[in-house]
Amino acid sequence: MNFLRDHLLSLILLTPMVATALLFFVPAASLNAIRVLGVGAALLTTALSVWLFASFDPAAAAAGGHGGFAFVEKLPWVPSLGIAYQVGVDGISVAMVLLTTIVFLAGALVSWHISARPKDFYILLCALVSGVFGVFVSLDLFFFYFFYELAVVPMYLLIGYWGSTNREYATMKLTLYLTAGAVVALVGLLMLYFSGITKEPTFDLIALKEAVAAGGGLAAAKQNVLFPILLFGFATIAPMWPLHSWSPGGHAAAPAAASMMHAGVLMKLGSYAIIRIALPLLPHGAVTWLPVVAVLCCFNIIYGGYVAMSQRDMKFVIGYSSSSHMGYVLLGIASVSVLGTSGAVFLMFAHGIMTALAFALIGFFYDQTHTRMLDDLGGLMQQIPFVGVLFVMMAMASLGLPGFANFASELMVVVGSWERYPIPTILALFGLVIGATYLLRTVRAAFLGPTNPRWNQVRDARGVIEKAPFVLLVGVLLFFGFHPAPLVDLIETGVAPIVAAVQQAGAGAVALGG
Amino acid sequence: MNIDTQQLLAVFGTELGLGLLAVLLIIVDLLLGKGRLTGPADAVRITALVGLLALLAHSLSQHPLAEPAAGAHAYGVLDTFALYWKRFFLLTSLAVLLLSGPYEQRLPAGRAELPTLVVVTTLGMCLLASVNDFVTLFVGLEVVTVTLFLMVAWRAGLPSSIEAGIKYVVIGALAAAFMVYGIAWVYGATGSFSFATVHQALNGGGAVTGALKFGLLLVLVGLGFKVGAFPFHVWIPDVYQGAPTPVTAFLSVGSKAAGVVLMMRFVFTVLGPAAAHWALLLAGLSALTLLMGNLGAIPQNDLKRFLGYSGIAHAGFLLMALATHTEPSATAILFYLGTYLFANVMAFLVIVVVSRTADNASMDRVNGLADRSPFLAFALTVSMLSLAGVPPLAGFFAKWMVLRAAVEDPSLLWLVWLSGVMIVVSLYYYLCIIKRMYMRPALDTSVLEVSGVTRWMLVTCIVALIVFGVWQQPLVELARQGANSLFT
Repeated sequence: MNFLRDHLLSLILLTPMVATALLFFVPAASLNAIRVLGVGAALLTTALSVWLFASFDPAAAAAGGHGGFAFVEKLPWVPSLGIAYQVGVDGISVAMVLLTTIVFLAGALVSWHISARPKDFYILLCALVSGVFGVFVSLDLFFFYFFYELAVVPMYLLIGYWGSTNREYATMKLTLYLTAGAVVALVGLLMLYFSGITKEPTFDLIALKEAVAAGGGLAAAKQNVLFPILLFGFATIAPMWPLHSWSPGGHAAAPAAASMMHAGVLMKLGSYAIIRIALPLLPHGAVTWLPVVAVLCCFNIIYGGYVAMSQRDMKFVIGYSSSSHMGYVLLGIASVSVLGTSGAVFLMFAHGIMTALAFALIGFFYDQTHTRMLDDLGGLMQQIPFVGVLFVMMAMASLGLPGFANFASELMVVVGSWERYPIPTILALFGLVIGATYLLRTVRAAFLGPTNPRWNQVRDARGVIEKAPFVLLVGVLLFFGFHPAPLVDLIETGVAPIVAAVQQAGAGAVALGG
Repeated sequence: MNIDTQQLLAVFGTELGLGLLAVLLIIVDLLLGKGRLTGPADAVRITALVGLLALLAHSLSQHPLAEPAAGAHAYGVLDTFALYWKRFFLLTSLAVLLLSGPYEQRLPAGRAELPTLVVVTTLGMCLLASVNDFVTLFVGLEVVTVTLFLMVAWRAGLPSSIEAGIKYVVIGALAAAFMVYGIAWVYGATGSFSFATVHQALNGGGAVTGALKFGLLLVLVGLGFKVGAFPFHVWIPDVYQGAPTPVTAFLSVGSKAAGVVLMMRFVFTVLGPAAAHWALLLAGLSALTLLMGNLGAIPQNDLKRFLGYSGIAHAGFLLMALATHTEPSATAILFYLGTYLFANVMAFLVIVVVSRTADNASMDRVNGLADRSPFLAFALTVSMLSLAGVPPLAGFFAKWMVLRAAVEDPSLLWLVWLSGVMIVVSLYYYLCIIKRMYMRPALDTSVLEVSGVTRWMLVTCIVALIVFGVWQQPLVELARQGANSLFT
């Protein structure tokens, strides 16, 4: 048990990797073995992540001597190049690992009935998840980037082969955008590596953080150059306006499980990377550049919302709504307050679950209706009440109804950012109204209204396998909606030192300026 | 001049072995040929394989030799750098011979002679790995160029093959002319062919004459031909397309690597610290080569031509590492070509199988490959993604090492950004191949037979690319040791 506990993060990381490798050796015809392996891997990581969540002790982590990270494992990898395999988690990453594993489980379950090349599908899904887990637990800049890029590329085939609307164009655009962002971030990371934060260049994030905390940070001018490189590199996947245009098309074209992973988890990598690397290592740069983020995120919120309103394809509605919601996350990060930034991380979690639910539900009836056009749908509540009710709940969560985790997190963001950025906050509040408009319109057009006899053959979700993913996701939203404390407290322990460092840099800048 | 025979034998043991092997192959051909036009192809190829394996084993057991005593003229060196490359070239020629097995049926004549030529070319390449003066350099280079010219034009019945041969020989001759002329200038300026003397002239503190610089520039231009650097890349697409596929593979891996080896000797041994004055030139060449290769690859519709442009793009990356001219960048080059070998051999293996029934390698032939043969499609996917530099494949780490080394030099930052853009461009065209395999219907649904040897080779390449991509340490260590002797 102790062995398992000491290597918990490696186990979480290895499970989808081993599943990927094993799937290669399963004959393509043995469907059940493939499904069991895919879903089994998801179940195992879920169990391990819940264990991680339950046993993570912030106080012990802070006192552990690893820069506030717990479950740290370190293994020299390529010593001559300063690369080590180093993993560890703080409150922020625990929340993200939990999110990933829940979405992975739900995604593996909704793909149960996938008919085209199920083996390859699960291989790619597991590979993608390996990359995502890797990003969330890596504390070595090389491995961070390695996993980041690993998470991007499987999506190309997932969308290109199993996708729908305009898939070839959408998937190429997505892959190229994200890789471009990643390459920019890579150059930034390498510049950071050679920038001389530590005496010997190192990719060790803990050592870098400790050097900065001990007053060894870079000169402000240097930080002001490096920060935007990392910011815009990572913000491509976030996706920050105007780098967002890959995202709605990619969502719309992707098969259900890929959309879920993509909107639920992949998009969070960008904001996570900014919080994990850019803020703590370049606090002065953050002070200079975060106001820019606060402005750009208003475009996300308002522009994304308006575009969502005019969409006729349900997946495009959710796609643009995602980039709108990510605006709140960016606003929370820009707020540099414990409340706002914790809210941003919590919103990443809540939005990930909510949007995964949305894509799972749309995918469910799209398989039968073969259309997602609002004009063609209507009255579906009569034929598929279970899915319909859950969709309404998803919409309520998304528009910020109290009782769902999204409400709590958006409230935290808005309250947290009010002090520093009143105008963007007002715009963000207006964005909630826009959100309510397009979500309610979508619900009305697709599910309400007179019964459409064309959809009489559409059947509702039945059986455990079909219902489980939906119930799981709604359950998580409701649970953390009513009882956010355990997660929020955890996130705050991770956010507080980062925010404190940036605030300190900001105070220093003001003092100098005065 | 006093020639130490023992030392000569120790340094050039592998070359001697290759020469003897070539003679042996001719004898086998003569004895067993009995006047058949196709010759005893299998016997010759198997003999060649066994011989190469034995030489590789011998090479693996070798240790680097100590530097010759000061003053004694050495025709060649056997340092860790030379050993790394000799092993590399022996491995490459083994792969090319195995690759040519399934291809040979298409040759109306001259099947038995092809392995012999491969062995002689390898001799030239191994010689280049050990070069220590400009004369040996030229001799080795010509051995490689002339034998490759013969092989490029091997399919005499095909106009494209003849055309490729002529283009190769004309541009090759031009490059050789530049080089000889340059060597003459260097000799005129320093009175010596030896690398050490030129190095001394450049770094000794005395004034560096314009004549020497001019001569070295011409030598560099000549080397650019082999590597496929701008502006001497023009032959590559046509020659790659027209040459028999195994020969194209040999050109793209062995010949390119030979050029890179010489460029490394040129930059690190001949120029040494003086390379700082040449960095901007190399960086400019790198930028132009990157642009030419990556942008040129986009509109291609022939697989071999496409790989030609892709190879130019990779040469651009390697030139960037040369422009960096530090120990980490030299290590990166050795690692890079190590992974490039596996990825490229794999691509050409798949090309040989899918274009079995045709004289060209049109890209349409991989359409729908995922339905015809999932294994081949997977192999080509791994190859393309490794070339594109996607983790967890070894090509990713290779690119990463080059970038890491280059970022350390702030004056190269512009080139790093350019190469970053080019990485995205290259991902586009490599993904287009993957798109054809997985998202396009097959033009021809006949069953593709994959022979046991091919399958085994593909598996080896896939495993190598994944293992070196995830667990990079062993290959990094090999590359580090290999590059180390350039800096001591």
